[in-house]
Amino acid sequence: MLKVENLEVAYGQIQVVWGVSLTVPKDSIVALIGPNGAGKSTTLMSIMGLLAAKEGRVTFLEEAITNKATHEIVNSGLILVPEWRGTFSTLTVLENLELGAYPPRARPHRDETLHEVFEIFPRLKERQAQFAGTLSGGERQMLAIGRSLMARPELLILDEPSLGLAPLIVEQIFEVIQQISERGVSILIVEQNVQLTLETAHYGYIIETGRIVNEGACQDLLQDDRVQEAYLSL
Amino acid sequence: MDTTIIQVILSGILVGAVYGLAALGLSLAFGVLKVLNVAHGALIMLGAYATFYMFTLLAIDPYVSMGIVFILLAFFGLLLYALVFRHVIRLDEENRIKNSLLIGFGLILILQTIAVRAFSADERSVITSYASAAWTIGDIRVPLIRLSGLVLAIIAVIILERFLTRTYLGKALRATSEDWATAALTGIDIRRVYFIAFAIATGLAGITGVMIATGFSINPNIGLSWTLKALIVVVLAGLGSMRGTLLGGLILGVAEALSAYYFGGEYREIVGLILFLIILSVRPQGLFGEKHV
Repeated sequence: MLKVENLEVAYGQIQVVWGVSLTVPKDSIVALIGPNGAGKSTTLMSIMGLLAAKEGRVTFLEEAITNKATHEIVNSGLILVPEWRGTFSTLTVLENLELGAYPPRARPHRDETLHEVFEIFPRLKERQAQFAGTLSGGERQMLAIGRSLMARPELLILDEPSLGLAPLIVEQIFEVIQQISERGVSILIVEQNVQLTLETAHYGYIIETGRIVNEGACQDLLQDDRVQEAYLSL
Repeated sequence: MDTTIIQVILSGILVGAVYGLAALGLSLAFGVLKVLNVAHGALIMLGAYATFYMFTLLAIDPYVSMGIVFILLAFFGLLLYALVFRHVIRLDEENRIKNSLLIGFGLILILQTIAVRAFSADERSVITSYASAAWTIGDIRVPLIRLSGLVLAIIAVIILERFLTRTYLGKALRATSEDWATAALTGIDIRRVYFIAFAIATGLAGITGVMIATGFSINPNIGLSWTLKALIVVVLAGLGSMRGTLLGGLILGVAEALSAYYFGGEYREIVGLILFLIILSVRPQGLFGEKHV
């Protein structure tokens, strides 16, 4: 459903992404793994139209979305939860969630989706009147994911959802990702927690210095010597 | 307390309400677009002249022309945004603020010169039949035109706060002002938000102009001094709170009035700048501002 072909992205003169291609089929969880500075987040920013692609094509649901305006991409059902979480600390939890239903495709279903999100994250229901700035890191990540669900995504992209969270919370987040996937949302996940990610995802891509260096089914990647050495420190 | 002091404070509050009104638009544009439009005062000047000419040529009462002036200035804001400010929006925050300053000062020069040519440099004022009407309570005198400025400023704050907290578009404005990238990822068309926020800001400059045309006097060069007042209020109050901005205006007005009363009128202008320096060094986020800004 998402197809990235030969994507090249540069910040001014400095090119960061060199011809990345990847595919996310419907109803799958796909992982993008790589070290810091490999170009993972840059690739995602470019897919979402926040950074201009120099070369290459991005197609979503058979439609070219390369360099389209971000809000249009969002309204087509492709949602990114950014690395910086992306919650509005000066808005309440409820306002954050309501704003998640901003895209025209999601707005008519707002109350119904809100009910579903509160089912997945009962904690958010308890905290709905609080300002998002007062939440803990884990709660903020739940809010960020909750907000993205409010847009009724077809494909959800998660950029380092476990970053800076306690192991127990990380496990909860991954359980939620599994749940979301079971509800029929396809997922592209970018992570540094390689073990857990490869256990959760179906297919994985390894990116290093802006290039895809390896790809395969996750159980194969888990057995791969180079992957084990570089990412699983076995 | 003797009545003179009460009269001084009251006058300060009534002048301060107009400072607050002037600051609302500047604060909104700065908060959402991260663009410091120093030409805000020049737009106030245009609004004041629009009021003046509608009154003298077409005999339209300023309280009626207010709506027209708001719309005129909002459209003028859209034009300015489309022609110039749109181009700085793509820059990073630091360059955005620097370049918007330069553009603003350029606009002041242009608008001022055009105003001198078109309206002459004469001091003008809208003098309605009710211009000198006032309530007197004992020895205290409340000029009604200036009191209407306070009422108007309060109404503007109430409408803005309702808009910002209750409507989807208002929440989108707040979200964009906090973090534009996340706002875009939420599906908000941030270009549209910028456009609308800027138009509301310049429309508010127009309304401020109406108040200045009726309660004060106008000439083509008043722009910069009103920008300065508005800027002091924005720094004093901090970003993110509309009622805080109005309150900041009142504080500045009272501080100026008191200093003029105790130390003489020549110190009036210095008070605001001293407040400006103290706030910037002691509480840079402003009295009512949000810390992260």
